[in-house]
Amino acid sequence: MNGTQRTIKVFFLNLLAFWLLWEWLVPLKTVSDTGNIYVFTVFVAGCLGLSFLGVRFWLGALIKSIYIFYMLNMLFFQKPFFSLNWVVDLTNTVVHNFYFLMNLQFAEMMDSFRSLLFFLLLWVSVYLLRYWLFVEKRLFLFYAMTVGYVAVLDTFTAYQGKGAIMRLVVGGFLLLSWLHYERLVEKEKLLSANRTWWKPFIFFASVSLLIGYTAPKLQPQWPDPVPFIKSYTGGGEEEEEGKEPVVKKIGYGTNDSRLGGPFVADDTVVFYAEAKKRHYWRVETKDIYTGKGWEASESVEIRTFERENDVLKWFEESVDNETLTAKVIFKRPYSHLVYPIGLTALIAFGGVVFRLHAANEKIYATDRESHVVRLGEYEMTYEYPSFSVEKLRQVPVVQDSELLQRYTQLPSDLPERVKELAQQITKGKGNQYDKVKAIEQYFSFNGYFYETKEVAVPSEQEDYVDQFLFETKKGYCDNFSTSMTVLLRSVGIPARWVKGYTSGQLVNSEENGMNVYEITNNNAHSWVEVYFQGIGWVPFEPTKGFTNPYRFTEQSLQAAPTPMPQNVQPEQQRKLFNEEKKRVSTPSTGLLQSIKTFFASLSLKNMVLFLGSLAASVYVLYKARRKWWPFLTILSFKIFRSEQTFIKAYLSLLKHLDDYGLKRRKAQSLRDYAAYVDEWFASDEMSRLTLLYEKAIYRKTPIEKEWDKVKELWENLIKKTVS
Amino acid sequence: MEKHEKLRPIIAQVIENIEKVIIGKRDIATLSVVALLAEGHVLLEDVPGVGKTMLVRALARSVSANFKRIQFTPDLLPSDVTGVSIYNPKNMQFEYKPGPIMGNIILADEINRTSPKTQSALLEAMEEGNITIDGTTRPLPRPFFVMATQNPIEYEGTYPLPEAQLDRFLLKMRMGYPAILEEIEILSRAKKIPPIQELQPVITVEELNVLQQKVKDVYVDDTIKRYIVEIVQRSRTFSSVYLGVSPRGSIALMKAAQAYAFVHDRDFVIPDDVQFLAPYVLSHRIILKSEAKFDGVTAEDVVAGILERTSVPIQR
Repeated sequence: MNGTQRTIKVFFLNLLAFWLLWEWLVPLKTVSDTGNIYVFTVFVAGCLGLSFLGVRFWLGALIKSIYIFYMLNMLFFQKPFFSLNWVVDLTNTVVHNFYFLMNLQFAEMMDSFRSLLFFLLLWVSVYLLRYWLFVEKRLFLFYAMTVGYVAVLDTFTAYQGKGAIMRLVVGGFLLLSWLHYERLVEKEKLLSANRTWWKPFIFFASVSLLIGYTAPKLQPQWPDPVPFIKSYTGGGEEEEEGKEPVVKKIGYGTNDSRLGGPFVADDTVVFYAEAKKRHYWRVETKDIYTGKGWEASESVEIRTFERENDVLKWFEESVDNETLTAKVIFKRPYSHLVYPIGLTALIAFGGVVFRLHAANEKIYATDRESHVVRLGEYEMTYEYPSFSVEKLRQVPVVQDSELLQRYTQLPSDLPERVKELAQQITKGKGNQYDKVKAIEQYFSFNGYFYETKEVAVPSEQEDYVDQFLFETKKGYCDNFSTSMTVLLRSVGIPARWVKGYTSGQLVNSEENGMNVYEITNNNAHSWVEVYFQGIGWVPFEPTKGFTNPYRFTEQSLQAAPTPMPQNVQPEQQRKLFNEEKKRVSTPSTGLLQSIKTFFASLSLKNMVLFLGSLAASVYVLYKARRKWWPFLTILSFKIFRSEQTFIKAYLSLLKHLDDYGLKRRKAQSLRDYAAYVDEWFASDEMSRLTLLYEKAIYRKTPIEKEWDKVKELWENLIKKTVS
Repeated sequence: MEKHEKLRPIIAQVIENIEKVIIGKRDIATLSVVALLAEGHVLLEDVPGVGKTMLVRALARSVSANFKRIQFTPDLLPSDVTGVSIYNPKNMQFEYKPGPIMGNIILADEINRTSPKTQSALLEAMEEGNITIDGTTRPLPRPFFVMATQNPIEYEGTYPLPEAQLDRFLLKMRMGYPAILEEIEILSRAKKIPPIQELQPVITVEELNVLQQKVKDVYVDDTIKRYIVEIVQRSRTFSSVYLGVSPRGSIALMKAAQAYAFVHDRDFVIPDDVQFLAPYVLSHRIILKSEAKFDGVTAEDVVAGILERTSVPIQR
C-alpha cells in the first residue's frame, strides 16, 4: 500500500470515528437541556483532525485547550478573550465546583464547569477511540455501547433513533469488518490480501437493512419503564394529571388515541372496594373515535360538588334502582376517582371538593384552592340500576340532536364495510334495544376471540375497528368495546366508550353483607354505554368472556328476577367459552392467522421487497451452509447423547470433509480415509474418532464412556474444516 | 478372557521371532500367524531361495510344536506322506508306521513337484483333519498346520495343483525378493550362526489351541458379513473371471479376517481386515478366462478391481 492510499484510509477511519462520536452527541439536544451541541461537535472534529494531521502532542493540546477556554468564555462569561478577566472567573468556578464535585453535590455544579468536564471527557474519548481504531484495531465494545445507547434513548425518551440505528448498522458493520480485515492483514503478515471483503459486506448490510426496514416491528414489550419500575419497587405514584409523560410510546398509556398492540399482565393491586354487589367501576368515558383510538372532546368545563352529586345525571325515574353504599380504599392513590354508575354522593374526610370534567366524566378530589388531593379512601352512595328490557324496547328514537351529534360521531374515512356490517347485523330489529343486543352478541358467534398477546396495531392506512372486525378478529376489551361503539354509531345509535375497572376478585365477605373486592391492574377494562331516551346511559358488555354486571329484567320474569344476566344464557356461555378455549389451544390457527395478518398488512411494494429479501437470505444461507450447519450439528450433538447421534454426526462429518475437498472413495475404508485426513490436518484426531466409530458400528459397543472424547474430537475436526 | 489377555502378547512374539529370521517380510509373518490361528493352511508360491522354508521353520520353532518336513519329489508315494502299515512278524500283525504328516506343523516343500496322487493325499488330510489307512481312520494331531511351497508353475518338471484343490489353502502368498537394504542385512547375518538356531519357542501347543478357539469368538458384524459377501459375489460376475469364489471362499475370508483382527488386538472385524486379506484369500480361488490371461490380467488384479468397486459399509 503506498502512502497516498494509507492517508486516504486513515482519513476515512477518522471520519468514521467522528461519525461514531457524533451519534453520541446528537441525541443530547433532545434528551437533555444541553444547548450548542455544535461546539462539542467541532471540538471532536478538531481533535480528530489534529491527530490526523500529525500535529505534535503539546501543540495539539495547546490548540485544544485554547479552543475549550475560548468557547467557555464565549458561552458563559462573555468577556474579551484577551483581557484574561474571565480566567479569574473560571478559576473561581473551577475551585467552587471542584468542592461540589468532591462532596458529590453534582446538582449544584454550574453549567460552565459541566461543560469543561464534558470537553475533557470528549478529549479522552477521542484519544480512546483513536487507540481502539489504530492500535488495537478493535471497536466492538464501543460500537455495541453506541447501539445500546441509541436503543435505550429511542425506547425510553422522545429521541427518534430510527435513522441512527440504520446508520449504525451500515457504518458500524463497515467499520468492524474493515478493522477485522486490517487485523488479519497485520496478524498473518499478508502483503497482498484479498481486498474484496467489502463485497459480502455490502450484500449483508443491505439485506439486513432491507429486512429490518420492511419487517413488521414489535411494539415495545415493556411499558413505559418509569412507572413500571416505580410500581415494581413500590415507589410513590408520580403520575400527574394533565402532565403527559415526556416519553410517549404508541400502544401504551393513559392516552387512548392509538389503540392496539399486546399488553402484559400486571397484577399490582390498585384498590380494594367494599360493596354489596358486583359491578364495574368507571373512571372516564370518551366520545370521539379517530379511526385509531379514542379522544375526549375538547371541553374544559368542570363542575364541582362537595358531597351530593348534583352534576352528573344518571337515570330517569322509570329505572328501578336500589340505593347502595360502597367504600374504596386505594393501595396507591390516583388523582382520579373510581365510581359506579348511578353515583349520588361522595364522602371523604377533610373538606375536599369534587371536580367533574364534563368532557370525560372523570372525577377528581381537590382542596379549596383547587389543588389535586389524592384520596386514599372514600365512601359513596349510588343507585344500582335494574333495567327493564320491556321498557328498553319501548324507548323512542333519541331526539336530542346535540347529544345525537356528539355520540354518533365517526371519522369520515371509516371504511364503508363497517357501516354495511352494522346495517346487516341490525337488519330486521325493530327497536333500539334489539339492535344494541344484536351488535353486542355479534362478537360471540362470528369467530372473534379474546387475545392479549398477538393483537395488531392498525397501520397508517388502516382503521382500528375495521382491522379487528374483518382482519384479525382477535383482541381484548378495547377492540370489542370500540368496535361495538362504532357499529352502534354507524346505525345512528348514540353510544360512548367507557374506561374503568371490572368488579375484581372477592377476597372477603363481611357480616353486614358487604363484600371486599380486590381490583388489580389486570381488572382494567373498557365497555360501552348506550343512550336510551327516557332511561339514560345503559352499560353493555361486548367483550368475549365478560358478562354485564347489571341486571336486565324481562316483564314476564319480574316476579322472580333472575340474578343471571340474560344477554348470555349460561349454557350458551359455557359453550362459547369452550369454543374459545379450543381456539386458543390450537396454535396453528393463531400462527396462520398472524401470518395472514402480516401479509395482509404489507403493501405490494413491501411484499415484493420482503419476499425478495427473504429469498436472498435463504439463498445466502444455503450458499453458506457449510459455515453454519456444523455448529447446529455440534449443538444437537451436545444435547442428544445417543449412539444414533454419533453415527449421524460422524456421517455428516464425512460429508463435510468431502465438501471441504478431502474426498473418500466409496471403497476406501474409514481407517484409511482417517489417516489421509489426519495427514492433511497434521493431527491424529480423525483416526482417534474413527477408532471409536468403528467400535460403534462394527462392534456395536456403546461408546457412552467415551462420549466427551468423541464430542471434543468431532468438534475440533469440524472447526478445522470451517476455519 | 484373562487367559486370552495373557496370551495375546505371545502372538506379537511369534511374529517377532519370524521377523528375526525373515527380514523385512512382516506381512508374510503376520499372514502366516493368521493362517495358523484361523486353522487354515498356507500356500507359498515363489522362486527358490527367497526363504520359504526358513519362514516355516521359524514359525515351527516359535511354536514348540512337532515340526515335520516333506520334500516332495516326482517319485514320492502317498504312503510316504501318510505312513504305512507294515506286517510285524513278531506279533503277527500289521502295525501303523506314522508318516511325516503326523505332525503339528508340516512344511510341504515344492508340492508341485510330486504326482497328483501324492498331492491329493496331502490335500485330503488338510481338508479332513484325519487320514484313512487300510480302513482305519486316524486323527491328525491338533493343531495341524500345513505350509506348502511351490515354484511358480511355469517352471519345468512340475505338476500344477488343480484349481479345485487350491482352495483347500486358506491363503496363498508370495515372498518376493528382498529390498536392497534387506538383502544386505541378510548377507551380514549369513556370516554368523544361522539365526534360526537361536530362536526360542514362545508358545505351547496347548496355548495355540486356546488361541484358535478365541479367534472364533471375534465378532463379525452383519455389515462386515455383507461386505464380504458383496466382494465374493462380485468375483462371480466379474468380466474377466471364468469361475468365481465359492462360499468356501467367503468362509475363508471371514475366518482369516477374524484371525487378523485378533492378531491386531481387536475383538471385532473391520473392513480394513477384509481389504487386507482379500488378495491372499481370494486370488487362488479365482479362475480367469483364457483371454484375460493372455491380456496379462492376474487374479490379484481382479481382486484389487473388485475391492475398488465395492463400497465399504460406513453405517449400520
